[in-house]
Amino acid sequence: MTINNESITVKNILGINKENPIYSILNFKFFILLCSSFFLTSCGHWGWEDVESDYKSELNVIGFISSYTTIPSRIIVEKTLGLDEPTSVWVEGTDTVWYGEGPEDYYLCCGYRKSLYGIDSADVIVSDGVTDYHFHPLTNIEEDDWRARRRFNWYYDTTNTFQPQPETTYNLTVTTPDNMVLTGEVTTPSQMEIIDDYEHTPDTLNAGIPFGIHWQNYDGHGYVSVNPVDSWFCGMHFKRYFSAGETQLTTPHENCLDDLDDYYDPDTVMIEVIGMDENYHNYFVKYSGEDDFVDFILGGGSSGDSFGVQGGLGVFGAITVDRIYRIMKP
Amino acid sequence: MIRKTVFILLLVSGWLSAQSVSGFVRENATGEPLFYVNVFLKNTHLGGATNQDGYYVIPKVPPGTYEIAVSIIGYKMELRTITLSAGENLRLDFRLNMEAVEGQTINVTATREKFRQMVEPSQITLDVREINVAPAFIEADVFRTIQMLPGVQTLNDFSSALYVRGSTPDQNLIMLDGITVYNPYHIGGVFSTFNTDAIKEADFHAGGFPARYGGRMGAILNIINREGNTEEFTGKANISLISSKGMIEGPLPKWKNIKGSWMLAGRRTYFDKVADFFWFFIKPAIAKSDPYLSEDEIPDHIFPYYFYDLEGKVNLDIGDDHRVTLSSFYGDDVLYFENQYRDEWSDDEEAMEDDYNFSGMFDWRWGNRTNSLTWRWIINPNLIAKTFVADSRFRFWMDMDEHDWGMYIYDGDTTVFDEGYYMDIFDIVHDRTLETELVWLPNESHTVTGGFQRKYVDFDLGMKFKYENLDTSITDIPLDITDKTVENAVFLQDKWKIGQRFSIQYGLRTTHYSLHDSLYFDPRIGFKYMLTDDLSIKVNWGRFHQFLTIANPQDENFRFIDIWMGIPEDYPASMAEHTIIGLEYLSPNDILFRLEGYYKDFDNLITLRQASLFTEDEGQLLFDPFNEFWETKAYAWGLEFLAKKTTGRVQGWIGYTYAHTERKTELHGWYVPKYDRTHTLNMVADWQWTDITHVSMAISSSSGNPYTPIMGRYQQYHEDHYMGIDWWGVEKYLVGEKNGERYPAYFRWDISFIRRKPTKYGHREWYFQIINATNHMNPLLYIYQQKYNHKEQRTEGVERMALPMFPFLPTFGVRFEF
Repeated sequence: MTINNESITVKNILGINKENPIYSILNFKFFILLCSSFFLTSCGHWGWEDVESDYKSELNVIGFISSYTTIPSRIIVEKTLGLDEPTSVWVEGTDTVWYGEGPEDYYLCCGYRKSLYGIDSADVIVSDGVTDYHFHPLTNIEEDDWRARRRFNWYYDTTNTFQPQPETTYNLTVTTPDNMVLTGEVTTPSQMEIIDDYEHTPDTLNAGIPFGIHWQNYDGHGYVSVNPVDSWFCGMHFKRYFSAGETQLTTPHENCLDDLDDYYDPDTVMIEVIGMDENYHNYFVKYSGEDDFVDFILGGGSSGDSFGVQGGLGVFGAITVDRIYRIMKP
Repeated sequence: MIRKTVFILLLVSGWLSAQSVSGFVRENATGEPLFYVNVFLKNTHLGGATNQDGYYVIPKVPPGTYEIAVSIIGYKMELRTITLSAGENLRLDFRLNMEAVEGQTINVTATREKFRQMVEPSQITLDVREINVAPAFIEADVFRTIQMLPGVQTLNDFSSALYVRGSTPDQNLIMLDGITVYNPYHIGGVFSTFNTDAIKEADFHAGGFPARYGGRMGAILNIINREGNTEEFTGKANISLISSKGMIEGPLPKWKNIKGSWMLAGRRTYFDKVADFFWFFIKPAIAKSDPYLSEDEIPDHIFPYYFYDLEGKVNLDIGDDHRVTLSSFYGDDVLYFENQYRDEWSDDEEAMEDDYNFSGMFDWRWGNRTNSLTWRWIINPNLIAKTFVADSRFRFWMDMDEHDWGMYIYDGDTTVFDEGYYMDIFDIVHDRTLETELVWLPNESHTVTGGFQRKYVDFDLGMKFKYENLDTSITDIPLDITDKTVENAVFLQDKWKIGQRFSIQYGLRTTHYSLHDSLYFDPRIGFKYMLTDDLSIKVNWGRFHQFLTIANPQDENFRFIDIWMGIPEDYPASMAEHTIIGLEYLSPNDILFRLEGYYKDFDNLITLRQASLFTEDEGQLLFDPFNEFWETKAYAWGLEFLAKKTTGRVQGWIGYTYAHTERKTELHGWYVPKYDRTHTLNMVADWQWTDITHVSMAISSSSGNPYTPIMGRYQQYHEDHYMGIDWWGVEKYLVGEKNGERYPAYFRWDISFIRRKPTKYGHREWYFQIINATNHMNPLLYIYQQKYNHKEQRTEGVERMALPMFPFLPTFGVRFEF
């Protein structure tokens, strides 16, 4: 029996000859041996294993300057944590547990979880170059004010002497008891001003019917929101970011399929336009959703943004706010 | 002007064709053309080899009497005596008979002739045997076999997509008989679209491809389907665990001087049918176990997914010089289910009545459809024209409908309602191509190929919502991106054999892209020098432009569909330059050794920004859709080794790849992409154990794919605007350098046993295979969880578990041939 004029011997089939030893890599016995060794050595790891990292903690500060009195300037001071560190700790005491939306729909419980990201004893200084303003966490928190208590690491100007001015540069210095230091700098935007006349925005708005919102004295990025003050209205909830250079927008037409007259009473609607500097815009808008890591269970992850701060993560930004009110009818 | 040029070309080529011998070489049993068959005149230096149509030409043969020999390993050599008179162009077709005896290995190889002819580097051809014997996931798959070649990397076991020398799958030109196929996968890439029963050969260029190919900057894969048996009706059938497939072929009745053949192949999965069969018996039991559930409310189908493909080919030979080929392919993945029920009740005491009807439907289909008509005209022995018109469409369409209607009576009032919600998401790529290619063989030294290609590609990417009730109809189209692009390309290349040892192939492809209104020039050049009769060195350089891209997130592990779009007007065309240098050695017993190094430089790539594509914001759908990109640069370099044995009882190859790819975006700087594997060693072997038994193995071992490690935790803050502004933190993981770490090394050993026996009507082949025989854990990705100390009531670090790729998986199937 011949194939290609060669007798069928293993050596001929495999193209092995002593003169050309490189062919021996195709020797079938060698192949079997190789496979067997793979079989014996290859298993890999199955099951859960600890994730180890030599990551060193750093500050994560979210701060902004606001000249609008109802939205005071604040600095949130946190740190990042290593993977093997706990993120919260159980604190004995009382906590408010809400089970409904009514004012009485709560009970006080036996304790609460305190975040270990937050730092409540940092030295936080905001300076306009002339005066240093020391920010502090709120201290006069009611026992059942669970929301305020969870914000133990939110620092405010508790002396009410800090009056931010538009187009002014402010510096931030955060120093923690264990000597982590973060600095930041921001220049506040010009003062946002909604054009508050009935020619630009009618005195009475109808749900679902488009209307215009105009602003002036500001040409950066920003955000517009429209919300009724006391109720939910179909066709009267609107939110949109706007780009630098825009000075007006028109709310969209929305089809409210229910017969509005039957369900809703007239209400006051608040129109708010917020301008933001580049740091704030970059952190909260432009790079907000860009994750480097996505896991089904853990969710997203990123390498951490920092805009306007040095020495850690976070943002030091500024906003300018203006609001007007209108009557809204179904 | 054009007419004059063609006339002059005809005249010149006719003059140059004086005294030639030409014709086709086919297999006698099936009529299939044979490639790279050596045809020569004995005792002279005159000869040639057949091309991919099985056509050969020996030009400039002096008048006289010769003995012409036709030889290829695996077939009996054909010898004939011919006499050629002055000015005669002799047409001489051959039909070769197989040499092997029943039951023995048939060693058909054109390796040696191909080794001599090919100037292009990085090219490899896989025949149907090589495709079929390499173990694959459940059934043979051409893409799975190609993944075992050097230079080709894979994302994971679930993907048959080809990552070639740093290029992503969208940069590969995948063709079926020369027609572009845009999304050649089923089940999100687990299987390729191509039915191996219909395939004759797969021609793969990992890089440095010639000027006649364009529009892509990665690799070329041309799947060449069988032409159909010209002699008798034959067929194949294959039953595997998930699908059945079959192929039939045969001759067309001869009429006057027209003869031809046809081929029809199809495949369909039947998981859905098997599941339905069992569900039919389980469903009543479920209904019985729940008194509040009627059988009507339980869906009829439990696994409403299947895919199918159907392909056909008809060849008509009109006289000796004309062939018309009609080729079609249809393939779809279908995920479809519907549900309907009715709820009717009344309460006479309370004067209440309710009649509620519901129907819902989810219909998601994606797939390809191609049709082409090719006309090959042998104008004279030295000049062959091939013209084809092709229509290729990839369509992804997801349709979700919900309809509620009925009436209710309460307190004497009757209310009638009828409302429906409808949503469509779609991506359609429609490619229509007209191409003419002329191959001119003026003498033994030159092969000149030129032609033009006009390609209309329409992209339609959209999303549509509709709501309607008895009074109102609302339509919202939040996403609507349409592009109509036209690519006009002309190309010219020459393969010039200078002396016995040196060959050069040079060419230029020029493309006009309508969205940019610009001309793009792609020069390509390659050299080959035969150091000895069986050792050659090749050097190649080329530039490649691409005018379309996909808008998929770059880090996804599973890709169900490719979202294609034309390169936007405000971005330049993506471009790559390939530089390749290689050594090839063909041993006396036809083992091919190849060592190649390459460097690829990419420019003007674009990467989809991975910010949230779609956000719902109280009454408003906001899209940050598929037109936000990071400008991206990339480079890739590597070294590859291949040893391929195509004769003997043991056949197969060993391939090793060292590869390094990096990409750069503004966001991440330079980083290695997810598909980068530094070292890859692949071994594929098929051993004919006995006359009827084969044992095949595939071993793949490589560096692990990169991933982005988590380092720590922090709170990322977001703002919310409702009656003012508020801020809230979301716990997130801090990650290290993008793709800065790698999963453990990948290893997989697949083995299959094939037993082929003759039966009364043909052959029957049983196969049994084991995927990942060592059950090696190859992580697809890590899933993480927080460790929680219940006693201390606090979290303590993070742990992870690898989600595996293919585990130990035995499968079996049977093939029939008649």
